[in-house]
Amino acid sequence: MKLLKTLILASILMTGLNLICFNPDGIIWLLECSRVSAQELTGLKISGYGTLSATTHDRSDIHPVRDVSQAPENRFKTNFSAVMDSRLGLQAHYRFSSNLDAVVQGVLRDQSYITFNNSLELAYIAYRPSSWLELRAGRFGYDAFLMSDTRNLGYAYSWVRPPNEFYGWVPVFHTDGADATLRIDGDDSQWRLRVQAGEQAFKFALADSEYDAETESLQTLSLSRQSGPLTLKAGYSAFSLKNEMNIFIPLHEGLNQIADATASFFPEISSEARYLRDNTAFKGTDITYLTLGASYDDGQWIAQAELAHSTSNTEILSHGTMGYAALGYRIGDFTPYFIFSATRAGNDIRKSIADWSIIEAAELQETVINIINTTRMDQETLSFGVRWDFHNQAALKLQLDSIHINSFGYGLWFAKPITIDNDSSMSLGTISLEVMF
Amino acid sequence: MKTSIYFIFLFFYLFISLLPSQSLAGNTDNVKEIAVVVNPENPVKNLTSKEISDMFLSRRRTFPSGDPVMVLEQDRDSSLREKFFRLLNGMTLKRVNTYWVRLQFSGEVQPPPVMSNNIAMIDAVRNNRHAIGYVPSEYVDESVHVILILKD
Repeated sequence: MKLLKTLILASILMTGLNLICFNPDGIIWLLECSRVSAQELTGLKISGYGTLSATTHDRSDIHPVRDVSQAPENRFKTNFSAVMDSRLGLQAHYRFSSNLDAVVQGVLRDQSYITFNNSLELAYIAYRPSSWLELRAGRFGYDAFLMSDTRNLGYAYSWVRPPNEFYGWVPVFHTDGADATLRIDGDDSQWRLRVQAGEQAFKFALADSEYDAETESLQTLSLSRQSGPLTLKAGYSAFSLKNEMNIFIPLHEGLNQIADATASFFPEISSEARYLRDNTAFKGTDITYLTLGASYDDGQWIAQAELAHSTSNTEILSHGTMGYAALGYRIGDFTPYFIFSATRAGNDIRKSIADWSIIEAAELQETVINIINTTRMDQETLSFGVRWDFHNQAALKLQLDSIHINSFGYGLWFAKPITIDNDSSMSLGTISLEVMF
Repeated sequence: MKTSIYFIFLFFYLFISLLPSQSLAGNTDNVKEIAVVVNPENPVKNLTSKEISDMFLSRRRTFPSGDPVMVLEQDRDSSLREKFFRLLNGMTLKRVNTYWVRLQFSGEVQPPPVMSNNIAMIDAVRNNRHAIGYVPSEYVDESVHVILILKD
């Protein structure tokens, strides 16, 4: 752990120290500096990207979020958001030689808690001992899915955000640790095998409480093949959660007490209490992702599809099967596209089994069952949009999402409790300006 | 802390007001041919435009001989670079920029070093055994080896 923090700090320092370049005339400024060093084969480069976005929707009882890190304060008060997709990223890259780099990237975006730690997206040192091997240490992008390390980079994709059904719930944004990448050049294809090991820790709001999502033994393996316009990727990732959700601790104690007290007289209540206790546990939960993805871009047509299956050994942590398919066609600077995405929960809607009113605990039973059902994800979205590349460094996007959420499938939203018993339809419109510099 | 989000808006205000004009730096109207050049000591004597395209898109990291590739680039918004990619693989600069945003900011690979002018490009190719770059044909001298000529 200490070694990791040192590595992350070292990569920040190595790039950071070079932010101020000394020359005989004194200090040259940041951007000036990258211009000066551009004449050489080593040196500093400052670059960045940003998204300015506005979203509006037609429901007052459901509020959208881009991913689990967000918990909008103004939910149900407005159906407009200018922060959901807006973000600003700044990167410093220092090239020591053709086989040694340090990269630091910070991203300012809406999150439940904006801290230095969760705004630091990348901070690694990369070393290439040969042309086919790359080793990185520090903080680097999470490589399980096709877009899991490019979620913030609106400029890099045609749509306004990665499909919510597929990426909205993935709680891992980056990994602190080490990874190794093997690249093999074939005749007309290039293969890449990457292994990542490490951990991630960040706080987010869940059910109006704070959860300290610290992972343990986060391991990821991915294999991709690129051949002309076609990229294929398969990924597998597994981790377990280290911490319990604090507000659930008294709940677990209560359920344990009920399970013990009813063991001999009401075994049905006892076993249900134990089941509910086990399935509201965060601590020690093992989660796995298995993904397959393909993307195609021949200059005219763009297409992308991904399929994933996620497992969790407790019901409370969102999991299931999800996928999407997107198709677009370039007409000059305009790229109209559509996307269909869907997710189905891996657990059935939980219903009560025993009658807890005998022990005057029917209310507790209902509460726990509701909590479990709140995190299920069961919905689909059809999106239409257009991207307009009006400048070499800027693009404008317009997207309309038509969303159908099935009852007890509101895991990707902030929804009023009364809403989640029923199906909902929702329209969401977004306009985004993307820039890179 | 949420107020820090307003920095994003401030940044965009500044960026839009300073958005560089669309015009491309330099003028290649009189550039008839672009020469892709490598170091004369490089044993590779022929490369297809697909192989060169894969190298400049950082898909391919080695020469057919197995040696590592060191790609050298021209100014990002130059008309020379626009013409180079158009003739090499048909990509527009907008598409090339979008492509690189993904690689660069995901940490997949950082963009190649950018040479300040054609003379610096020739110098760098002459001095680095694994380098590959491109210049208007008239800048080519005997210190580098031309591996492909691109013309309209």
